[in-house]
Amino acid sequence: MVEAHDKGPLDDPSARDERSARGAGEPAVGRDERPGEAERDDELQAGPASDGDADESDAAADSDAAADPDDNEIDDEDLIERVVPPTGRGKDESEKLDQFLLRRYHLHGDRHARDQLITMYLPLVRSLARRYSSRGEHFDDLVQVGSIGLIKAIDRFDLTRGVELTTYATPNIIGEIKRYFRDKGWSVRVPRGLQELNIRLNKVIDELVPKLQRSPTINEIAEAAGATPEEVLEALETSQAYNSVSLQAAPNGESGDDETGLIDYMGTEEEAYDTMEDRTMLAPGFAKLDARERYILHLRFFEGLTQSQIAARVGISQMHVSRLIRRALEKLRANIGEGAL
Amino acid sequence: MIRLQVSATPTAFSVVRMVLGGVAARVDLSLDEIDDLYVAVEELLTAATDSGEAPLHELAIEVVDDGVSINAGPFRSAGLRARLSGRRDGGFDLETVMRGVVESVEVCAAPDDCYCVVFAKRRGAS
Repeated sequence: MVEAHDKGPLDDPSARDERSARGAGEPAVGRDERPGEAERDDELQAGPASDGDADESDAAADSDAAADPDDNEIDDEDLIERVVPPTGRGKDESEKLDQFLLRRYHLHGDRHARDQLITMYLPLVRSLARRYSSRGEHFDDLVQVGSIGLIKAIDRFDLTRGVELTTYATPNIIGEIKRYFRDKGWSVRVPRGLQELNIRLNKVIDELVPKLQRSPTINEIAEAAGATPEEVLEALETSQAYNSVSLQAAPNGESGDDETGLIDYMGTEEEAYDTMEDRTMLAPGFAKLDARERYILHLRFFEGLTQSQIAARVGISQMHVSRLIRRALEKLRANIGEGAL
Repeated sequence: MIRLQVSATPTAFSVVRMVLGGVAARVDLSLDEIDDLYVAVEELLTAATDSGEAPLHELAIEVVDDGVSINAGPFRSAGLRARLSGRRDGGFDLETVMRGVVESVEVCAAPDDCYCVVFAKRRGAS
């Protein structure tokens, strides 16, 4: 069957998946998900400082609170122990709990608070990992990788920036999953340069379509991406290479009783050509050998007999067989040499 | 003109896409138009294989005035021909699918009671 092209040959899933998931009304997992936060994977390296949406007053308030944790509205440390289902909490309550736990961890080194945060945000990791699970990697592996992104986000969270943990953690988790795919997830090994060009092309195309008000040409994409048209085509093709296909699989990817696999359609080196070449080369020399020499060479090299076995078969000594073989080979070499000249 | 002999396998489709994309890029077909060409070729080759055609198919790719023309075949299967003649075989027939993505689809006679499928995608036509 034809492979899916509903998104075009380029289909970096991150931003589109995020948009479509929200558009479809997928429930936020773990806690309320702010619009736009999932599309912030570009800001991975920038850290929380790059959050342009941060409300200055919130930031100031947060900073003050961070300086004096005792002023926090949630001052009941037993709150850490409470197991409140995320969906059972309001947004405000969730934010306050996050901030409280983050302060406990960052200001007081409370590892239990850190563990609590990780547990609370694992559903978010699972939700994000699920969107990438159709690419041939195990879901559990993606959750593990995403969890590393979550832990990094919690550890690197800057209390003074006034952003929510969800806002900061989401691009970190997605970034970690994407990095995993980039480094390990492509079961067909694609050069890193092409993989990165492919990611760049997705952004370029997303920019060009609204700008041109039409689908861009390969040349336009290449110019905008600073690549050659051939590189663009090659990179586009790599977007199909997330999964490998078994050589034993049926040609159309269907299972059935037909034992014909892809491997049956693949070319191999034809050994008969080598045999033909050897025969063509040796034939004139063989013609110059006498019948006994030809017979002995046949026994030695075609039937695989030892010199002693040949001696017994022909009725001469092994030494004599050795001399006959050497002489016959010299004749052949001489003949081949003449032919070559 | 470029001639390819391919099997209807994902691996071969990848090669066809690369070659087709290379030719189409030279006549400035847009990304969507190139995608349409991919769909047409892959649908045809898959249908040909499903119809019992030989596992290897031939494609002749040619640049025409303002687009790319592909001549696929020769084919022999009556089943494939029926699907190209608008006869429904459950769901969309092949002709409907192909006409949906390329500007022209023709079935041309070939020697030995065979036939070829010629289709073209033109720049800016859709």
